[in-house]
Amino acid sequence: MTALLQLFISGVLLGGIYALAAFGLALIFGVCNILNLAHGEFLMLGALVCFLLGDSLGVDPFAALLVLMPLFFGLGVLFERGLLRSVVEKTGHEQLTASVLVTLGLSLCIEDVARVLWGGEEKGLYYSLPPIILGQGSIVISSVRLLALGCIVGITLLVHQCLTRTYFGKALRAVTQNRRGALLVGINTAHVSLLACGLGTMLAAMAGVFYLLLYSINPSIGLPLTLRYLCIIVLGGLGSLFGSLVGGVILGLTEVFTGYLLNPHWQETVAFLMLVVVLLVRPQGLFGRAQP
Amino acid sequence: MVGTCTAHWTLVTRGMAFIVGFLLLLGVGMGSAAEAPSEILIGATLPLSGRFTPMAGTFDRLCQSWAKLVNSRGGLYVKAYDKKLPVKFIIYDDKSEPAESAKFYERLVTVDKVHLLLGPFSSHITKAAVTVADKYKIPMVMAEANDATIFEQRYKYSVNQVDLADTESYGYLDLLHTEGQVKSIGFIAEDTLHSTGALRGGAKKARELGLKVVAEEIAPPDTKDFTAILLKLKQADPDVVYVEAFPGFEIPFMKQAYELGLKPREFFNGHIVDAVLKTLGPRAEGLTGVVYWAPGLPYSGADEFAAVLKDAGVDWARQMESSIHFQSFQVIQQAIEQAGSLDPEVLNKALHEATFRTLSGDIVHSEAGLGNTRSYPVQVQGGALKLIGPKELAVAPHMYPSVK
Repeated sequence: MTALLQLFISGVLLGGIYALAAFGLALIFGVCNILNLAHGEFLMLGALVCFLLGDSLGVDPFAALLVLMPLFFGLGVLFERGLLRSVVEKTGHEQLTASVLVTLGLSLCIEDVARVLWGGEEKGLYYSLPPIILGQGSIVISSVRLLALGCIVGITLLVHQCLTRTYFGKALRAVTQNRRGALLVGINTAHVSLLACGLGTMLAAMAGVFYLLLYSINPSIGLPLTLRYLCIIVLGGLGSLFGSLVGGVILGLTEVFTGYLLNPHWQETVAFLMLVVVLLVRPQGLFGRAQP
Repeated sequence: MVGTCTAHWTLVTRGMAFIVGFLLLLGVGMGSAAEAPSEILIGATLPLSGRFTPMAGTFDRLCQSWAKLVNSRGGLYVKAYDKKLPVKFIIYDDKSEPAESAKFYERLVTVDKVHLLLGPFSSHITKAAVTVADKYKIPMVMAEANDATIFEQRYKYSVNQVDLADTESYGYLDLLHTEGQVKSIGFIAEDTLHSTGALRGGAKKARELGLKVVAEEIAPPDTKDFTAILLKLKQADPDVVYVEAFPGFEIPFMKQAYELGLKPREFFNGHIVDAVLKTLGPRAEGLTGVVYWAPGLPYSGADEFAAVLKDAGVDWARQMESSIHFQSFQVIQQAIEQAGSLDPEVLNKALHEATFRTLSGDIVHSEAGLGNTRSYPVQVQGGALKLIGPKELAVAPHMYPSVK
């Protein structure tokens, strides 16, 4: 029983980490209707900047967030203005092809540049907090993961408040629901897209900090992560921010329980099987809206 | 008259014999000059991109620096031409993919016409590339490839330097056995040829030595969350947790082991490179591992190795397999000098029959091409790697238990 409880706690904590990056991906897709295949690279870049700050200047990873947030928000804005704007304006098949080519190309470029400039070897940061021990040692909770989850919940609540209470948030939700309708009621959709990209990229970089704390990074981690986050937002429902959070937690729990009850080799298979089943039952995902 | 005539013919005959002899000598000399290549061409592929880049992406520089060192001394002496020939490497990026590597080795033999092949990085890639050597009967001096499945094929034109991956843990396990303090061990490996081979051999050897093997877990190389495995290991409670994997797997495993409170008496990491030590910080103290070379080993070529590393800008602590690559250079050099020829058959014979002096000890290749360099157990003590075995070479005692 304690083993199951331990697995449940670990699964939720892992899912929280997944959710943060998936959240940014869902945001960009919801507003711009673009699958950003370079999303994982922004996560890697965020982690890399955090590593460089920590390794060379001794900056605490949580303090590094203060530098990373404006930096990557700006980078996201540049990304939208320089590369995505023309893609957003396209429609249908043309838009899909262009978005895949542009974002995949950018992903490969970032990976190569990072490899050339900072080397391809594995990089990790030492960060240690004593674990929280419950039930006379039978349940151990990772303090680092708990702290990460706490930050993620805080960020999620902040973004939720922003989306529900501010004009920008309401405009963003309106664009997510119906881009043309939003334009007709006077919302500057181009401006919203710009800010959504900034916010989404910033969230990816923040997720990168937590990723670095828990694992290690190298320039090629980006694309596989993007695919995993893509599964999460499809599972949760494309365009649904709450769905990406739930999708992340479901994926985290699935991976942890499969690794324990079956075999670590089955983790991804079971996760993808679950995705297929959900899509067969609810093609729009768990929290997505069905197409009229 | 007859005498004059005879004398005349004798002179003519001698003259002709002299001319024929001179021409023959000239011919042989000219023939040799024509046959002698301007340089010794060595072909290789390396993972200049892809997943193995962190481990060996700088080894092209290592090759060029060794060639530079050899060429600064005039090159390698080839008896058949009675002269020294400079060494030149032709290297392609295999993108860490076996099929790419095999494709480029074909090109190195058929288009670039190299004299000798230097193997790629890892058992995974070598398994595909080594077939080219046998196909074209061009010798390949393998580098970091020691999975048993390669040598089960009994290829005739390839040799490697290190013993089978299955034996990688032997030095460490023998040490534990001699000390007699460790009773149980739990193995975890990433699912790659090398690591699973090391796990297989290590678990077998541990049982032979009377240790209780309480776990043999294998996980995919891209595993990032180890909760399930760590929970199983916690329940099994081994004295030693033996992790055989590359850093991308080792680092998250070790981080999560500490986070989730796994407390064996000792941790062992198969690739105890700088990135692992740096990430684990003070917790790396006491960590054990194995290396195929360490500073202080009393064998041949350590100074040259240091010079090549310096010139190439390669840090051994970051890329420890660089010592195995250097061993391959030493084997190539001695094989060419002992064979005295660049003929593939003669070279291959020398590679299989000679004894090679290298920085990790003498190497003799088996009929299947397997080398005999064994790993040396090391431990992080005072922030540095210290050789803790075998007894006659150890520079520090094994600190056990080492997990605080």
